[in-house]
Amino acid sequence: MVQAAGRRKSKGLKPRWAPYLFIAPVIVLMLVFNIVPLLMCFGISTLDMGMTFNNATFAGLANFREALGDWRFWNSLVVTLKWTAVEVPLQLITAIAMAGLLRRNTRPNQLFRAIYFMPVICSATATGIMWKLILHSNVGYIPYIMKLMGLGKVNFMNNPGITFYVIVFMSVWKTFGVSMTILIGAMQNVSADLYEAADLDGCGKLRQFFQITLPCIRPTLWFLIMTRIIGSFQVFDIVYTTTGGGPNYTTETLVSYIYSRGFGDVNRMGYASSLSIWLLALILFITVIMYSFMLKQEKEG
Amino acid sequence: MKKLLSTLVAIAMLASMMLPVAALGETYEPITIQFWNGWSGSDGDVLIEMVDRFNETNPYNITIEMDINSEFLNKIAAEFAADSGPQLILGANNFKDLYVGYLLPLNEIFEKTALKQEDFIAGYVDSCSTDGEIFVLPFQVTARYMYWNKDLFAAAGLDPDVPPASYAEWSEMAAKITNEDANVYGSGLSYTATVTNAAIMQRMGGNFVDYDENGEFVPLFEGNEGFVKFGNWMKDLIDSGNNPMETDTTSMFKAGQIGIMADGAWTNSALQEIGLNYGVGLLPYDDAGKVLPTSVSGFAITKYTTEAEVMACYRFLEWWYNGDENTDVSGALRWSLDCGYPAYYLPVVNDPRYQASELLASMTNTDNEVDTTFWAPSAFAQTFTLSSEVIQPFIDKVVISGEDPLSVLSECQSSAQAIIDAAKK
Repeated sequence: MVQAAGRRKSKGLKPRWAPYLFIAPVIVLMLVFNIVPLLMCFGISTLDMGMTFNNATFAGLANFREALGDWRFWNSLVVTLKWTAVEVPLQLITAIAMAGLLRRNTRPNQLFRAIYFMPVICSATATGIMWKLILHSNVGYIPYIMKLMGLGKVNFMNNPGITFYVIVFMSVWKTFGVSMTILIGAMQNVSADLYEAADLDGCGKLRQFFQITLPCIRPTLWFLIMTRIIGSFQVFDIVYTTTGGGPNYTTETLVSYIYSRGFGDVNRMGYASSLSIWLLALILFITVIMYSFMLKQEKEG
Repeated sequence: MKKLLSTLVAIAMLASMMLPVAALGETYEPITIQFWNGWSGSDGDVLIEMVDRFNETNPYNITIEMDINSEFLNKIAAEFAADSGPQLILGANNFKDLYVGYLLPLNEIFEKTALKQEDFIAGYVDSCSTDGEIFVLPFQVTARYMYWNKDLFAAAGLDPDVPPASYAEWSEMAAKITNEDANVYGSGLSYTATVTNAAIMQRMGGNFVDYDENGEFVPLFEGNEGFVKFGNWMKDLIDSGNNPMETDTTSMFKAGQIGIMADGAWTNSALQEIGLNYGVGLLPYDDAGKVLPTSVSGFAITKYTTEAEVMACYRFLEWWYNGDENTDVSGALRWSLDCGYPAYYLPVVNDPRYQASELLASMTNTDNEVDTTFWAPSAFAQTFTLSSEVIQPFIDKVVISGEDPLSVLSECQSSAQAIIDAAKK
């Protein structure tokens, strides 16, 4: 009788349902905040509408066609591609170099890891305001020191020629700590035997790094490259809080342009959605290419 | 005798019970008004204080619940779209065209309260009206004004009480004031302060959009020599090193690093607070004649309001403009005295405290011939879009990138026409 009751009790918690129950909250959150908005974005991109559905009219593919003739869309695409080409390698090289230096679990290394990780936990707004003040052409102390050193007056934040690179620097400074931490974890997992054998063979530290460390952490590196590239296509906060896309649109990225179309004075949510779909297609395309390249490399490896 | 005495006592007791009721007078049902606006800056504190005062002292049992939000414009658009909204809002005068059908006409307020329409300066009320129906009642009018640092003028050998009377003089004085070693610039126009720069552009080239002979809106950018003049003038100021290439020049002015700049009336309160020795006045007129682009914002009552709520809003507005026996300074007067905005309401203009303020006198326009059109006729509701999509790109391309102003103006003409066409749809 007791055994029968136990069987009845366990009937409601069959192991095959348990995993679904555990992941259900995440699935619901994903549906509400990712899948449904994504599907709605597809729908809205075919409408000519403002902030709300009031007076919305069906536009078909007109918004997508309009983007192809919009110079600011192309300009922001070029800025975004340039951002990816400059920021991602710069950040990864910095992170690899720092991870290599701070790999061992010594006290000073732990302290420096914490220091380098600190910008990651700061908000983008605070970081943006801080750098804007530090680099302000008239009151910033870096331009002031440069002037004292006889390097002349440098306008970091309002010069179409250099402001883009200044923002890239801010972004690298703020985010390389994440990549560094992940890489340190990967490097610490490389078998110590390999380094011992290399030492016995008289292999120098730099050679060990390039011939042992880097090949061993390749999967982690690929993960970082992919996620950083996807992230760089979505860059927004640091641009929004520092330059707002200026001067003369030289730092206007795709997402900041999409934001200005949807939530700025123009208020064209339909058009902004169509630009988001173009961005999604671009990220998908690049991710698929990179993923197949990565698989090919792994097979060859 | 005993009977008479007991009757008198009974009457006295009854009278004493009635007394408090008589003293209270008419009683009012409690009523709450939702009041939304976007005055999230420092002057918002004055607004909060005044609303609190009204809530504490009004005898009508009215509570104004205010929601100040920097995203007010988006918030109200979404709220109206959902067919709901607060009872009272503060918005630009072009809300009357942007939200046709959502706002109630306010003309009745002059019958139901002690307010008089003739007490409001007519031009400002006209810009808030459609066919004689007032949809927005002025709360704040502001143009862009010229500010100058008197100490820097004196240091450069200029008369501290004589600001530039023309834009050529502006450039000349700026060159004299600039002192690179001291990080001082003669002029301080921010290249991203679109509305401020547009105030000077309009003085040189006239309205950005106007009516054509058929009564349709038409952009006036193509070949506009005044706009070309502005582009070249501002570029020269920056190229010569007499104007910084900066976004926030107001902070630099506050820090004593700018000789002459242009900004809204709200800057006064901050400058007074830090005790800067400065002067303020109207920006010089130019080729377009007596042009003083002035933006008007005001109170509007939405259609999501019962009759009793409308009356409660009227009472609050009456109190704002006239005050009452509990109020030494009305809201409208306080707004001018504390925040530095010129008045639009004659009892405020005529108040000795207002007249005693040199600062307010220097910003108040007393010339009836002046054209106060803000960029375009008030029925044109796309001024924000015109700002970000046409005027700012013109400044960016001409001043920052050095492109030919005439060809940029051709692009501006097309962009502005597209905005007009989209609005028609």
